[in-house]
Amino acid sequence: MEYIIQTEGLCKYYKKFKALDGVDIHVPKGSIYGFVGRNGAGKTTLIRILSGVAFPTKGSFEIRGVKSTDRKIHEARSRMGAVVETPSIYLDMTAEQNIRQQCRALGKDFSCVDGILKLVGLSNTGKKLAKNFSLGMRQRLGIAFSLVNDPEFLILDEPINGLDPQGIIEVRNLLTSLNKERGMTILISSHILDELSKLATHYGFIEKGHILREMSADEIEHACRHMTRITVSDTGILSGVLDAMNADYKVISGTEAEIYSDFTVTPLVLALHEKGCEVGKLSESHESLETFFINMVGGAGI
Amino acid sequence: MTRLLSEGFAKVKNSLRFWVCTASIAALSLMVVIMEKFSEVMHEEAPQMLLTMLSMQPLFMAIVPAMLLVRDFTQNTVRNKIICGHTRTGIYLAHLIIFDAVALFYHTVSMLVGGCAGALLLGGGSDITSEWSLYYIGVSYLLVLAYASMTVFICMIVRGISGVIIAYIFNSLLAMFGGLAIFLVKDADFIKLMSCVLLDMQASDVIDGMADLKLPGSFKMYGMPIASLAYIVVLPIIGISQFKKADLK
Repeated sequence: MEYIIQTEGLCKYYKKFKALDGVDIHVPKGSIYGFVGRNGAGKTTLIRILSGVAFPTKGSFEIRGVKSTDRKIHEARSRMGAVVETPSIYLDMTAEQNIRQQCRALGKDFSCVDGILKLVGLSNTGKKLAKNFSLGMRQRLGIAFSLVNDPEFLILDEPINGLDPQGIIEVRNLLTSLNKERGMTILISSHILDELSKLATHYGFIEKGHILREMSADEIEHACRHMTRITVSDTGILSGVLDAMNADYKVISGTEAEIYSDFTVTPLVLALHEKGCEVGKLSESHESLETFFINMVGGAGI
Repeated sequence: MTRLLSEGFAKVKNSLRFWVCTASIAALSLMVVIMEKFSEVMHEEAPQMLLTMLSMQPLFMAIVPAMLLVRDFTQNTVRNKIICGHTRTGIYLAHLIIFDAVALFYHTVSMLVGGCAGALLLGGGSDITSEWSLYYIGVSYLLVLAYASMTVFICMIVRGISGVIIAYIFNSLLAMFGGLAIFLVKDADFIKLMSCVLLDMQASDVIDGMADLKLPGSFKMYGMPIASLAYIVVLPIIGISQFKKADLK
């Protein structure tokens, strides 16, 4: 598999605090790589290092096959776009003036300006200055900035933070079209895991500066367990019946349990009925990315 | 780096602050000449009007080019330049060149307005091309570049509005400590050295020298431009080496 970004034992220490400690990630070409982790897990630190804004304490990374220690790393970055934390825009300029400034910095003519503004939905902002933009508009302008050099890959740090539902859908559609139509590789970190699960084809899970696991969306799909949630009058009786059936289950409360293994409904309900236990409700559900991640890191808090 | 220069100069050109400051410098230079014309003890002529704004250059530098420079860091737009592949050396040098250009432009505007208005209203225009006048004009340009080098260095190290403030007061602080050192040491050579090395002291000497209508002694004559050149060359080298290692926000 061809990787756009690879890191090898990447470490970043701030005095005694280890923001990153031996991080290895592999972002396949053409993928949307969801970077998942709690606050302070090291997501932004890694993105800042990949973007060249910060330097690693130890370890190295490769961008488009060029090592971070190589002098050509600047050239490798020339086909990369990134929005790190807050969008980096000129607040005292209009959207068009902002994009023109980036065109100048990249030595490009201004022919792309209208197209990019249209793509991110900012073509009708006229003379409104960026400092008067809503958070969503600033985010989109930040993405527009990163698209000026027609990047092969895009790094986005929490791009949907603060966006309204309409804005989230627009950004999602934009990213999907960039990936599908232009074949752009996208590394995206987000706290909104439900949203990320609608986009990502690959995932990297980071916790306390360590990569816990890298998985494809298909692997996650397999790993996220199907389960049946059952509400009964007495979970004590339910446990006995499920044990007799060798089922994999977890009691949630005195009246609720989750059953992970496959089972036939009728024998279970009949067995419970015989023992005087009433079945209130049965519902099938699928473990979400959020639950999967929380189970992986062992607690809530993202 | 030409791309960064194009981006930076466009920012300067579109900045209202830049044009307001240019107009202010021209107006202030003219005002000094007019005040001199109507002063009861009229003794200054055109050459003395050339450098009336020299001591105010650090203030103008702080208001326009330094603010434009640090805004690149406060608004984090410097990230865009790094992300799309510009080297940190290129970014530092582009900032320095743009800063130098703005500072030299302001100095030239103040000299042109002061010199022309002075020649018309006060006379003595022919003295502007005298040897001592040309010497001090040359030294003043180097001094402006030295101030610019120092301001860019501090702003690129501090990378915030506080950098602008520190850069503005730094030379005054140095001059203050220099004055104290001179008072304590009381050695003629040390005084000469300090007045070359400390930019604010050098600025005073250049303005005074222009008023005295004569070249300085040989130590200062060579010492002042050499000291300015040292600032112009050494500070960017240190600044670039520091900036290349720095983690940005």
